[in-house]
Amino acid sequence: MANKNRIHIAILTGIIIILCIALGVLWNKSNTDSPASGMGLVLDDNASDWEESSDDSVSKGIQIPGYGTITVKSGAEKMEMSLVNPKENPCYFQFTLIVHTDDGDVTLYQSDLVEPGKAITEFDVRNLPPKGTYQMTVAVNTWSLENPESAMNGAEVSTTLQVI
Amino acid sequence: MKFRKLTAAALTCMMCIALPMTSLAANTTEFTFVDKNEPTYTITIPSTLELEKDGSELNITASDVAYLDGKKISVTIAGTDYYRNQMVLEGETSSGPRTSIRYQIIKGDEVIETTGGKDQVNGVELASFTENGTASLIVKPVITSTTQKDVLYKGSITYGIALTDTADPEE
Repeated sequence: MANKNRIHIAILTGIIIILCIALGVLWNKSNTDSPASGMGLVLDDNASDWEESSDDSVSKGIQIPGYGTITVKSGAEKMEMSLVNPKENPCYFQFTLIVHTDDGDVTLYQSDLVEPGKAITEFDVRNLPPKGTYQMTVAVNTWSLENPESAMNGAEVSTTLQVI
Repeated sequence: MKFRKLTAAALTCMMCIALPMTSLAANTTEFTFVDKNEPTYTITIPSTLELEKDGSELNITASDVAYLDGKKISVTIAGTDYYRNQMVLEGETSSGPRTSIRYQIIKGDEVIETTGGKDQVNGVELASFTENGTASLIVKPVITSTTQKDVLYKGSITYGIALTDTADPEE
């Protein structure tokens, strides 16, 4: 009986070790597949597939999303806002959120690279100002998909942040 | 035996509670709405633009325009990648030293260019939209007698995009 248990434990341990090795190989492969990771630039783990479709008639160029008023609760540690890189784009996006307060500019958040067709919809924020209405800039830096060290045209999208 | 009776009684009570709640649910409509922080418009800027001697078309497009609350989308020059945000392209000569060339953006009768000063064209409006549409401008290199040939000149622009009042006091 004791021998039988030992055999079962040995088999289970072997299966777990094989699974760990396989997962490790797959994880390593996924981190080195994109040109961006090969260049030392980091893809954002927070980005997920963006299902909304944009206007298909607009093809060439870089599509930059624009925002109206953004609302966040006072004291929040996380912010829900869709930072989108439309799937038609020929470049990675990097987002930086900068709030303009009376005491100067404050960076709320900076993302890693977001691939076309993906969006960050929730992220940690720091330095959130107190309740009030502020001008906020969503800076969008772009890098070529083919050569991620080559910067392309970017944008600074101005919007209003309401902390309620 | 006592336990079985208690279990049966408990189950019967639960069924009696569930039945009227099911009929109540059938008579009500629950409305839900979540206002999310999502994009309300999209501006398409050129990814690359190969300049021709006589000028090349630069198109800026607004699409997916939703509720603007009576405002307009204004697309401006926020800066360039050159020193002091000048409208300058740079390239390497075959012998090594870098060289540069200015360029202009022509919007109707207006010529937008820099002449060496700092931030001269930051904030200059290139296009505005209140609905989906495309604005076309011309971009032209400023070629002089000292412009070096066979050099690939490159540069980039950062566009400013904002919702502004439709009656801009500066216009």
